[in-house]
Amino acid sequence: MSDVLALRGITKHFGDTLAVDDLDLTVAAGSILGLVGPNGAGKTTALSVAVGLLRPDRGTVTVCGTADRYRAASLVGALPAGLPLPGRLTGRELLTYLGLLRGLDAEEVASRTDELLRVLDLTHGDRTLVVDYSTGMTKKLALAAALLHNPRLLVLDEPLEAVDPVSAATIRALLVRYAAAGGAVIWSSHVMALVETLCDHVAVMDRGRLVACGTTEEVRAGRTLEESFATLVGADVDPTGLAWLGP
Amino acid sequence: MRAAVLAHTVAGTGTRWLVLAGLLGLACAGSTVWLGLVGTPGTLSFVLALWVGGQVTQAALAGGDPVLPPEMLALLPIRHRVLAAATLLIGLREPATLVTALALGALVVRGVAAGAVLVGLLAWVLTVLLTVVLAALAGALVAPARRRGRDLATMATALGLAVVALAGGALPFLLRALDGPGPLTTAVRGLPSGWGLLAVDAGGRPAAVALPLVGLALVTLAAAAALPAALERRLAGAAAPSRPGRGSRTRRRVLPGGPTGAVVGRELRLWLRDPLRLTCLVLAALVSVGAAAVAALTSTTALLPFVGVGWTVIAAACASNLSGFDGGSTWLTRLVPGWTTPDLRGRQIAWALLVAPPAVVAGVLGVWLSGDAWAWPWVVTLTPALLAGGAAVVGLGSTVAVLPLDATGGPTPAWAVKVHLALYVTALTAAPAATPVVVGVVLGVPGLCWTGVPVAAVVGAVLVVTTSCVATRRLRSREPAS
Repeated sequence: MSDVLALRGITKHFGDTLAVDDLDLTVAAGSILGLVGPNGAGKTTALSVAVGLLRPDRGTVTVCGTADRYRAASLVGALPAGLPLPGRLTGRELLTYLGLLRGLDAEEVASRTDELLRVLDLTHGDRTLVVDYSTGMTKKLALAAALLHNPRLLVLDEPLEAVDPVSAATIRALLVRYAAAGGAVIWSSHVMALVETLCDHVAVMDRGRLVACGTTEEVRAGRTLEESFATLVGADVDPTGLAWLGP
Repeated sequence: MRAAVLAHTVAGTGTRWLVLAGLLGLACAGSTVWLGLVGTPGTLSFVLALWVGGQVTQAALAGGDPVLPPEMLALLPIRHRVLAAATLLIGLREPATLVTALALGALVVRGVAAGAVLVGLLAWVLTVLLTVVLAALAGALVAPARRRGRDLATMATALGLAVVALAGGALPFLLRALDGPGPLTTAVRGLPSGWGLLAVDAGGRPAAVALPLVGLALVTLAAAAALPAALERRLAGAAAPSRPGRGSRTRRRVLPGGPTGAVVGRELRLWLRDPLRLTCLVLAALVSVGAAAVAALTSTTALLPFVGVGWTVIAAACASNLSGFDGGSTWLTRLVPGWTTPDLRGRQIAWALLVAPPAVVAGVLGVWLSGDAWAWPWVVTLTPALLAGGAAVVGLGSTVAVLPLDATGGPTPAWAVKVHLALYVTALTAAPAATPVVVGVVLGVPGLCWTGVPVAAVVGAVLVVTTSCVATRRLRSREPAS
């Protein structure tokens, strides 16, 4: 299948810190790629470069074959981690604003907004300002904003963090259907079991570099993803520490 | 722990502002001490009320101690009484309390001058304690987690400061009213902040000395007794669900669809809902109306026709940092292809929709109320010129020296500098249109005065178009490119 997202030789520094080092990564149409790595591995930086929120020091980003930012932006739906939403709008107002700003027809925006709020179980907060949303509600609304314009590529940074189990199941099913219809998803997560069951491809980053990439089966190499991950990033679990801990 | 957090905060902010604020505070405190010697009872009571009220309002605005909020200790096994005692001890060591205590030293100085040193000292101690306890109580009652309470506190403080600033214009009247007996003097002396002075000025009569001091002690004790309950309520209520907000799915769209209409809708909502933006608008109205009203009461009605002009200039200056107010949430807009032009136009249109109607109405009403028909050419020329200039400043200001809000969501000190600069720049944009009016007045040719109107239209249009182009180019140049 054709590549929807291609990162080629991406390098990004923050001062003296090398956040992403010569990263090559592709996501094919119909694929869900799980991006995993320890804290500080460079996942969020890589995803921010992929959606155009950060300019790389070196390397290129192409979405559906185009490196033109303007065209790429209309093809991508993004849910970055840790970035706030405008707090003084309701969820419905925010989605309406974004839909119209993207040039969608007003009726289409209204209809999609209704459906997104219903599917993501946000209708009970329909009259609540975003500043009063819970963390999980904010995450779901950000996901709705990413889906609103029916993008070809979804770039999601920890999308299920703080989301309730029912909504999480809905989102998982929704993404599987989206990929089956030809969409591409790149998804970062620390929950290995989730990545293992949901993603058909996995990429492992450590200290800014890609240390493994392939199908989930290839990266697992006959073990659980968690075990493979620990080996790949050289994690050293020390069970002998904190001997005083315990009732 | 609090000292460590404070040290890191100070290191992050830079010490220049703190030194400047400290010096200013010390100068004000020194003046108050001097007032203790020479001030009338009414004047001194008024100033003492400002010190005590100022610290209590500041605590309410900050929602208590922003350095070490009690929520950070909520999960520790600490009784609320202990937490309240710790809050009071922290309050006593606050730099602001030390400056206030120095100012309240006017009571001691007054006592020494009146031969009542002990009463002065006692009044000073009790008034300082009252300030600390009331500030702690106000901080506990307005928790940062309660957005609406905090919004109201922000607005109330800003408006209070504006009223105080405007009162500066009416200072001669204020001083005259406080000089002798009268309702204002009675009111400020009746406040708890004035009770210490009542005791000092009592001339040694036991009952007249004891009654205010006992009253002060009782109020302080009552407030201190209420503090643990207030803290308990705050900590228990931090996670309480908030009431549903506004917004209705059945509301009819009145704005045109499309990207620019979407931004206009967003901006109008934010102007009415964001306390910082709303406070800016209310301040602009208060200062422009207040300055003209004070002048009309004290000397001249000549400022009345220019209320709309003043409102426009202040509203433009306050809106010169809109994208900074939006903070990190602009990422959503920046991900939309072609966002720059609609975002810029939408901000300008929304600002003009909010500012222009009141400016026009105030101009017409001002001329009518003052009866100053000579002001017509000025008002008709300056109002459109400044509306266009303001729109240009609003657009360009979103791309020049954008100042994000600080960690607590408030504007940084540098924002005040930007607003001041924007005030001058906005006023300057009307200079070309004002020139024919000035020349017409100087030469005594009324017809020439009216040529300022077409100049305002042409210069205004050129300003808006050129600054919008510059602003759009600047925004695009900052976008990441693959």
